[in-house]
Amino acid sequence: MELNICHLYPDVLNLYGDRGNIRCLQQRLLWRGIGCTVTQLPIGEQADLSEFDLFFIGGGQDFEQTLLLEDLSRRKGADIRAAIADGKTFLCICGGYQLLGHSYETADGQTCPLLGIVDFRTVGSHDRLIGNYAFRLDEASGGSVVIGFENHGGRTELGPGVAPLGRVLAGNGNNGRDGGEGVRHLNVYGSYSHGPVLPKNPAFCDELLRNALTRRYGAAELAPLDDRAEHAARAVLLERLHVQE
Amino acid sequence: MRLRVFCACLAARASRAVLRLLGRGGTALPGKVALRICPELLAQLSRGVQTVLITGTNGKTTTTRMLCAMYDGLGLSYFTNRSGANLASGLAATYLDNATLTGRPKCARAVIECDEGALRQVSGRLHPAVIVVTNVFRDQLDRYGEVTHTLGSIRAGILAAPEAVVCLNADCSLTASLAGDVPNPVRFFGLNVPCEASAAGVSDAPRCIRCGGAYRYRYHTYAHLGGFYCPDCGYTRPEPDTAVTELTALRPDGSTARFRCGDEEFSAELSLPSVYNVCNAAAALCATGALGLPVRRAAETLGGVRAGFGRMEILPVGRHEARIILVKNPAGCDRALDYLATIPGDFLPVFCLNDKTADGTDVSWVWDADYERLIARGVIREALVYGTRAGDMRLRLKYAGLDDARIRCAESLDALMQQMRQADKPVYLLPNYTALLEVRERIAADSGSKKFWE
Repeated sequence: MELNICHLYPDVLNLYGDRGNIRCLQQRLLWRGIGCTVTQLPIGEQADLSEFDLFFIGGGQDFEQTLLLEDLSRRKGADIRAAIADGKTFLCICGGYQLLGHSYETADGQTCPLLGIVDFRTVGSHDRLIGNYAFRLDEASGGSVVIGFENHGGRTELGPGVAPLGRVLAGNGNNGRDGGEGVRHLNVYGSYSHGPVLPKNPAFCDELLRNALTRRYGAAELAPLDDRAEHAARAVLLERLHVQE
Repeated sequence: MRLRVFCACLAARASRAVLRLLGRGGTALPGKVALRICPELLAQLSRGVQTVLITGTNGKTTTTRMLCAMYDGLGLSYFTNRSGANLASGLAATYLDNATLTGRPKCARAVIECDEGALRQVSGRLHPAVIVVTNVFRDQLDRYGEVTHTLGSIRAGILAAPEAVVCLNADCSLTASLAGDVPNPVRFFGLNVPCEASAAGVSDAPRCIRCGGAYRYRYHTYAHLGGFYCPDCGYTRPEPDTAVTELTALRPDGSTARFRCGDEEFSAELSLPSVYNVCNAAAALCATGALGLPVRRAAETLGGVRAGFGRMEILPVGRHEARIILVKNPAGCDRALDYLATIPGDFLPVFCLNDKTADGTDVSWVWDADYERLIARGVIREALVYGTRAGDMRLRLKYAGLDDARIRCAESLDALMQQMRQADKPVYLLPNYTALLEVRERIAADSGSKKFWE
C-alpha cells in the first residue's frame, strides 16, 4: 500500500509550522510500513491531480494570498474542484480552508471571491482570535478531541446544511459564536487549527490516512502505534484548557 | 519642560534604587515611570548624543556587543543597553542612566539595540546617526503579525529619522528593499560567498517584495539570505559596501573571514562561532565605516568579543561547560542546529521550550526549524527536553526521526540541573526566551556568575 500526498502551494501557504502536518502524515505511514510520496505544487506549476490521494493546503500571509488567487483562477482552481468532487481527501488549514468558501470580505469591506466549492463565507475583522483551543470532531470524522492553536481574523459562517468539522470545547473556532469549528464536506477536512495540528492529534491524523487509504483501496486497517509521547503532550494542553478526552 | 525632565529623572532613579534593593534587575520599569512623567524625555536625553540604533529580527544583541567592542578597541567612550532591554521603556532607562539629574548626557556616544516593533516609537526622538537593520525573519507571528508588517514597522522607524545613515543587509531581500523606500543615505553589508548548496527549509521570503515574482539565487548563504534576484522585475541583491569575501574557517569556537570595506581588504579573527556571527560582524563594521571610524582597526577587536546573554555564552555546569544558544524563531534555530552539527565528539543537547507571553504563546515555529537535517546526520545520541511545552519539543524530535526512547523529559528545573550536572559530556542548551531567563539564572546562581543587568 502507498499514498501519494500533494502539498499545494508550499511556497506561499506555509505559515508557522504547517509543514509539520506533512511530516506527521509521512511518519505515521512510514512507521506502519506503508509507502508514501510527497509532491510539492507551488504557484505556477501544474500537475495531474488525479494521481494524488491526499492533499494539504496550509495558511499564508496576506501579501502572498493575492498571488495565489491569480494562480487559482488560471487552472488549479478547477482541478481542485474536480479532485474534491472525485472524493479525494483534503486537509485545509486556515487560509487554505477559507479558500474553499464563496468569499472573504476584508475588515475594510472589500469582497474577495474565492473557489466557492463549499457553501460558506468568511468576514474579516481586525480583532483576531488567537490562542490554544480544543474541539471534538463530529462522529463522521472519528469523534476524537483535537487540540490546536488558532490565529485568525476571519469569522466563518457555514451555509445551511453544511457540517462543521467539530464542536468547540475551549476557544473560538469558526466565529466564536455558534460553537462550530471548521468544515467537513465529502472528504474535505477544513480547520482553523494551524501550525501544525496533526502531531498532537494522532487520532485525527489516522482518520485522514484511513479516509485516503479507504478511498484508494476500498478498506484500510491501521496498525496501532506507540503514541505515549503524543498523549503526554496532549495531557498538558487538555489540563490547561480544562477539557476531557 | 526642564522641571518635567528633572522629575522624570528623579522618579526613575528612585524606582531603580527600590528595585535593586529588592534584588531585581529593574531595566525597564524606571524608564516606564519616567516616560509617563515626561513623554519627550528621549529627545531631551539624547540631545548631543551620537546614537547607533541596531534593529532587525536576529543578531541585534550580538551586533550591538561587537560594535561596543570596536568602540572599546578604538578607545571611544559610549553607553549601551547591555541587558537587552530594547523597548521604548528600556531605552529611556538606558539614556536616564547616562544623564545628570537635569537631563544632560554624561557620555556622547550610544550603541543601542532596539526592538523592531519599537523603532518607530523612538527613532524620531533619538535622532540616530546610524540605523543598522540586521535582517527580517518571521518571528512570533502571534505578536508581530507577518514579516511584511515587521518590515513596515522598520520602514516607519527609518522614515522618522531621515538624516540617519542606514546600514542594510544586502543578502536579505526584505531588508535590502528598504533602500528604495527611504530618503536616507544607505550602506549595505553582506556575504559575497555561498555557505550552503541550496536553501533548506521554509523560506520567509519566496516571492519578490516588489512584484511578486519567484526569486532566483546565484548562491545561498542561509535561510532566505543570499545572492537573490527577481527575473520578472529586476530587483536584485545590491553590491555591499562592507562585504565578506571569504569564509576562511568556520570552527566550533570561532571563525576566520576576509572583509572588504571600501578600498580596504583584510582578514579578521572572530571569537564567536557560526556564519551568522560573521554576518553580524559585517553589520557592525558597516556601522563603523558609516561613522567614519577606522574599520580595519575596529575589526581587530572581533577576536575578543565575549558572547552576550545566552548568545553562544559558555557557563560551567557540573564538571563540564554548557554553551547556551538562545533560539526563538526558525531562522535562528536552524543556525544553532547547523552549529551543533559541527561539534566534534559526543555532547548532550538540551531543548527548552516555553510558551509564556514573552515567548509568543504559539510554539508551532519549531516545526519550521530543520531538526530533521541534524538528526539525519546521526550526531545526536540522546536529548533532554524541558519547559512548559517540553511535550511538544519531544514530539518535534520524535517526528524528526529521533527514537522517542532517547528523549528524556526534565519535569522540573531541579531535575534539569541534576541531569545536566550528571552528564559526562559537554552540554548545549537551546532555550527560547523565558526558558533562557529561567535556566540561565539558575546556572549562574549555582556557578556564581553575574546577574544579567551587570
